[in-house]
Amino acid sequence: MTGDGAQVDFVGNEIENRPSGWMAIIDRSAYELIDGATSSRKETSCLPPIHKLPPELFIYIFFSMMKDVPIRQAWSRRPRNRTLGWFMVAHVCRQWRDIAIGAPSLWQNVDLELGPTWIPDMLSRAQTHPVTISMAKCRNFKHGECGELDLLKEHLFHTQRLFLVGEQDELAPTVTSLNAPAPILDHLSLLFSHFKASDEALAPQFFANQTPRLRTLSLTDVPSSWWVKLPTAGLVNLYITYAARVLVEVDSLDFLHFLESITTLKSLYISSHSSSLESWNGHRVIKLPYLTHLQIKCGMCEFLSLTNHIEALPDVSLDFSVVPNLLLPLEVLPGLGTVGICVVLPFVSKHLHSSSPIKTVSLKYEERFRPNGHWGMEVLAWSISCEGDGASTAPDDTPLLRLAQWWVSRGEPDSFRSASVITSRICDTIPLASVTSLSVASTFWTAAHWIDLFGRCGALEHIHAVEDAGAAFILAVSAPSADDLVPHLATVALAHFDLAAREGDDRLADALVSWLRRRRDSRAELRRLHLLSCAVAPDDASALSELVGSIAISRAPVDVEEKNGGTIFKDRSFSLTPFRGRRRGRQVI
Amino acid sequence: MPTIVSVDDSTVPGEGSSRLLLLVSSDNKHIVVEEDIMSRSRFISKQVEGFEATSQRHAILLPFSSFVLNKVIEYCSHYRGYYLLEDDPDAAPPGRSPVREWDQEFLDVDRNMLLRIIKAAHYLEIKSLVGSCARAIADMIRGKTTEEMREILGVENDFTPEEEHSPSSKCTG
Repeated sequence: MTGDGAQVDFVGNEIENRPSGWMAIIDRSAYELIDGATSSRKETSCLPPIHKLPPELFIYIFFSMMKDVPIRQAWSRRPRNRTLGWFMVAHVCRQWRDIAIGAPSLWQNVDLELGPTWIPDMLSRAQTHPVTISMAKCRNFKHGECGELDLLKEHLFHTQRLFLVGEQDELAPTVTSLNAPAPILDHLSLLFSHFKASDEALAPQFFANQTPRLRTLSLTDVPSSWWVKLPTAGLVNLYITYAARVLVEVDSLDFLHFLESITTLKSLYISSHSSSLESWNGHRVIKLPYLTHLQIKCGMCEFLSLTNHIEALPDVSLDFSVVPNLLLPLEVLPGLGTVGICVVLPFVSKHLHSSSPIKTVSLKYEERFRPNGHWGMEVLAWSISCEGDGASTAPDDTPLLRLAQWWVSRGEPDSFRSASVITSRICDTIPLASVTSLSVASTFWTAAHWIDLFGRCGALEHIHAVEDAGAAFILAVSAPSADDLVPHLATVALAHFDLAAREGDDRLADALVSWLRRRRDSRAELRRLHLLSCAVAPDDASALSELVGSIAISRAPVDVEEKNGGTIFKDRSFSLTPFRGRRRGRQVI
Repeated sequence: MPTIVSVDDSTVPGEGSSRLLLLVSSDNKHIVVEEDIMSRSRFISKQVEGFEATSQRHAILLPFSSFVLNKVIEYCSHYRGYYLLEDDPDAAPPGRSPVREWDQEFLDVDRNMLLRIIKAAHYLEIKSLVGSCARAIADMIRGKTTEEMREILGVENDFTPEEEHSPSSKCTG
């Protein structure tokens, strides 16, 4: 026998002849392997846990290191804080550097201001990942040295969001030269930091008219001659802001025609501190059939111009803020009857009477502790019911209505008077008959206000009152006649006031006990009483607990915030819930 | 004989409630938990889909300790029934997770525990927890020098001097 066969025979014979020797070799090899595996495992377990994380987790961590920059801030005039500071991680160790450089998603935010040292590398590392490209101060790229414009055009094919800010003279040539398709562009934001009146219009070949996925368009101080040419098919969100101190040209016909052309528009935000939108003529009314959210923040004349031309469907959520016009400061006080929020009310009234019945209302009046002494009011209304618990539980849905107004106070009496007038006007406007939940946060709220509201809100079940409104509530219900006004009242939450304080001859606590006893005796016992961050004496707490179904006294330290020398409470009413979009059915955090 | 451990009496319902799952940790602790609580985990959901609908209790082996598993269950219990955008199957991978006050307190643990939790959350495919952990870790090292980062997370500098100053590491930080 020759070759391999002979070799096998030889090994076989050897094993047969010296079985113990071969077995020893095999055993030794096995032990060595096991030892190796064990020591390797020991070595691995000695490594810091961070090394055991999979690369994708490092990517999440590095991504989280990028500072949070809200989208809107990316084109604001405030200095941006988006930097490449997170890339410090590439200096930590070889593994981190490889991950940081090799993950396209970490390079998706490209700031053209970073200059030639970084831009080509960033775009190259992003590969074909969707990118956000921003430029806070747009130079005239045509004369640029590092070819940013060419790079921008070259990468339009994977640009998802584009934010360009610059002076009109310099931004214009850049934007007009963007004539390549942007197939995944979702968000386009243009801001003219310095507007100059001119006849120059946007070139029609913008993005070669190929932006099939453009959904959000933000325009700030851009004259209408520019944006009327923008492709709008499929647009869902439109933000138009006029913040400049100069009058930016906006042709009303252009504007309305533009709006009418966006058949898919769901959210419209118009904010103006100039008078660009105020002097519109004609009776043309635009219907926006898919609009769900209309937000207008402007002076009163502009508000009238807009609302005269836009027709919102009953289900549209309204968010209106009336602000002092920067160009022509208007004295809201004391002539409140003809100006301010009252200008808005006819439109609101018409809208609300055709919409779903209002179930929850939040009223808030407060002094904003600003150097210029602004006071403000905010009213929110929801079409769903909410049982407030004293710790700012608000319906988790977009309000049907939000009204806000700020004014400069000339002393508390004026503000007090104006608040009374505004409240009265609003209560006349909002259909309150179906309201079951009511929240009031105010430092100047009287028992008379409550009595007035009780008369209008016959279905009230839940009341949430903060600060002076809480004390005033107790005074209001102290009168025996008030019981008939709130027959269905089931829960009361009172927050941030001193229950041991005296109003006239009586302590508030005594008045509250007396009212609750009367309710219990008439078999209308309150189901729940929540006292949040109120000063409550132990004896009073004990007495109260005997008179209601359940009582919750939150003794948590009052959550306060120091601001400009004053103290304001945080999270104190329904109305501090941020105004946000509708979510799906379940609760959103 | 393995020990049967329940997470919390209140989380183990009686007969007829949501189905029960038996989770087995790497230290061989058996933890009974309602399927509903763990439904935030894509991994568990996929496992459960494979089980027969009629079966009442299922065992799922997990490669991390009961201590870590209990933390994850605590998280899932807290957000039981809540919709978190990051956990939506259609949502983008965890990026800059929203700041949730409860999460910040929940993740106020030592470094190693935090790393174990994020690893477990990643294994269980709970994107919201991965995002919150990533933010917590990022917060630990944000604004720190590279030396401080190494010290905080126990990382060794394995660069050669040339590598450390190579052009590929250019940084504006």
